[in-house]
Amino acid sequence: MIRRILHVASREYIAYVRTKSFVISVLALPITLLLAVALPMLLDSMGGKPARAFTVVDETGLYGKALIRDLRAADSDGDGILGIGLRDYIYESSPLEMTAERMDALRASVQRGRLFGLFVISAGDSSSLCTLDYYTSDPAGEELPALVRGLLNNAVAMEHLLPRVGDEELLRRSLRGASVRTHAITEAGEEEATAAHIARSYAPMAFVYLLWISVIIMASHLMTSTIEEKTSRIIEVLLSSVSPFEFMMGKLVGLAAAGLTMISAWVLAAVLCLSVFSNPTVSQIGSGLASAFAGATILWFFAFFLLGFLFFASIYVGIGSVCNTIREAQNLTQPLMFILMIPIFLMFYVTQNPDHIVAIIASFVPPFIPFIIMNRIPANPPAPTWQVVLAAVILALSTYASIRASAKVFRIGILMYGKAPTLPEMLRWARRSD
Amino acid sequence: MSALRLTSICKTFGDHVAVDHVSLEVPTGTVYGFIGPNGAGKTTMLRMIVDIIRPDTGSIEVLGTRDPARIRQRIGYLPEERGMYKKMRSVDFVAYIGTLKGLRPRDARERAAALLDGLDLTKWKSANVDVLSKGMQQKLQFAATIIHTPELLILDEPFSGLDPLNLESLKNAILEYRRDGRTVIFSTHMMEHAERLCDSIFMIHSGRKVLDGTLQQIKAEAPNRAIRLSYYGDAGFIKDLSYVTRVREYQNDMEIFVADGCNPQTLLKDVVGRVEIVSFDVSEPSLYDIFLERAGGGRGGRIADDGSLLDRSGALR
Repeated sequence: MIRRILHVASREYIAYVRTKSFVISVLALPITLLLAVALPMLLDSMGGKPARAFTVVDETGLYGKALIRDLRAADSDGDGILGIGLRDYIYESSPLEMTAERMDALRASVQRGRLFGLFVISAGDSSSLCTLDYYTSDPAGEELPALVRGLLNNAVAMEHLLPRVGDEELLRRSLRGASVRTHAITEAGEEEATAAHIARSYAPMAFVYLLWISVIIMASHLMTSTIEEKTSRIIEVLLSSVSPFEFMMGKLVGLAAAGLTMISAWVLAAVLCLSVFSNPTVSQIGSGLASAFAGATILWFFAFFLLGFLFFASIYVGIGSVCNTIREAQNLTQPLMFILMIPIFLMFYVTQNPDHIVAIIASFVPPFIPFIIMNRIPANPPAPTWQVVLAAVILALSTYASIRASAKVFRIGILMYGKAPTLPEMLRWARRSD
Repeated sequence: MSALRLTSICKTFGDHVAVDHVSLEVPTGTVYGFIGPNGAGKTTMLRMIVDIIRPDTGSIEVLGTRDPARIRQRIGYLPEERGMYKKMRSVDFVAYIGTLKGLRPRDARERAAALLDGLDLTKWKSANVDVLSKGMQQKLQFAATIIHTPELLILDEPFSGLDPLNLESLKNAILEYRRDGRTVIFSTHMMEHAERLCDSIFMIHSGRKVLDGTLQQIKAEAPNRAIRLSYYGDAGFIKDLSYVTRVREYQNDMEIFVADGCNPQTLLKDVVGRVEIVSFDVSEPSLYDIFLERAGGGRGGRIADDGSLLDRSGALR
């Protein structure tokens, strides 16, 4: 029996791995990753990106000079271009003598797009010493006004406090405030917080997503191929050679192998990506992800991947066996699709709050187990071992039950042509003794 | 040992009784024809034999075993609806079925290649199934059916859609199979194929067995056997013979129907010397006639003398 299951599995595996859709799904993620990381770096290195021009007008005449000096100082490489975030800004000086006409002209050039931003410093009201008006065609960008505001605050403080304090260095240091150092205390000991820790905290979501996307891709392929075998009538030849159970199991095992291949290809591509574009941040992200995937977690991942995959795939193959068209199958799988969406909606919340009571309960509800538990194992605090083991046992039993039920539905459904049965009818078949 | 033994099998689909208490024994080394009108239950019978569907009641013993896994390895089944993986290379498809039937992968590939060579498909071995013509696909399917040299070959309507060349080679293959001591069961609704190939015939109608036996037995037992006598002289006495049920008289020519179970040789003895016999022809009823008779009879009618179907009241349908 095992031998026949493996023969079916290897044919399914080879047939699927050779299809265009598999190649596309394997390449899609690495290519997206590559483009997301490499393209901005490439464009950046090509240069020629237009710097956005802005200017500052000081109506008070008190802070402008200091502000502009600090702006120039912020341009560390002295090329006249300020790199703030991912954007470049260029400071243009404005005429010192401001008239109403000149102000209108400056506003007009913002409107025309020649000038990206115009800052106007004017006298403050009762609660503040000065007001900063910011005119721009793109009010969504917050980096530039934040920078200018920070520098202006410094300039205001210097202007009014320096005469009283007298010690410029002391004042500057006071204005800079306390420097924050985050220390991550983990099992490995104490270390400085880096991008690795951020990557580490999002790793649970990577698990959920990998499992989810492969279930969706593989299960729908499984369903389509079952319908194809049914409508092309090849099923009769196959069922005179293997039992319906052997055939179904072969398909499930073959597709699970294809799913693991796909995930391995993705992980490999991610590793390659991280090692090719090595800068300190990227390698920190890499080590953060690696620490999340290390040790028992990766074993649990494979265990829950296989169980979860078989659980959903067996349901999909059972549904595929009773349908004659993809459309029928899609109607029947809609409720399942809805259930599958829930862990994705919860993914972010569970990552942040892995010990929320709902997350704990969902860890024991069969359709959610593989997602929620993989969401929780690498999270902080991690799921207790007894919960992981219990979830694995529940999922294993549910998977066994769903495979058995699907095998019964499969045996009846695969030779049925005409109208697809309803879900209650299928459940009746599933309960029927063999 | 029988190649197949069915004991009182029944199968219903919903309210429809597809097979109704059918028992059957197929001896090893024979060619058995399953005949019957469309929808009689032939395909359901064959599918139950290969364990694609299970009977509701009754038992099925194939090649001396009831273990479906072992049965599958030793039979070859050609379904009525042919199907293959379109995107598979033809030699790979045949070899794949071989491995499912228990051949080792390497043996299966060698056998598949040899079979395709034998079927003039050498050039197409590496081609995907979907580029093959319909005729070539049929050959391919047959190759997949016999790759593991099954002891029992089960063919569901194997002749439908074949051109005369392929038809002949399939018939030869079936006869060759029997010569090797293997068993072949096939269903057909073309009586001439059944008549020319089969040792025995099983006829099913509305799920019930209506005929079962060797071709010879069936023909011997068929009622309404007409004896055609050409003669010179006065043959008027014949219609008065006790065992003659009916005669149809023509000019110097007569069709004589004798009672069931009466040997035509008795008639010949009685006629010799009384008229000058030109020919005495015990024409066997054709399977076609028997089929019509049984199929009509099962619905409560019978065949009229001129071959048309009558219902029970004798009116022409």
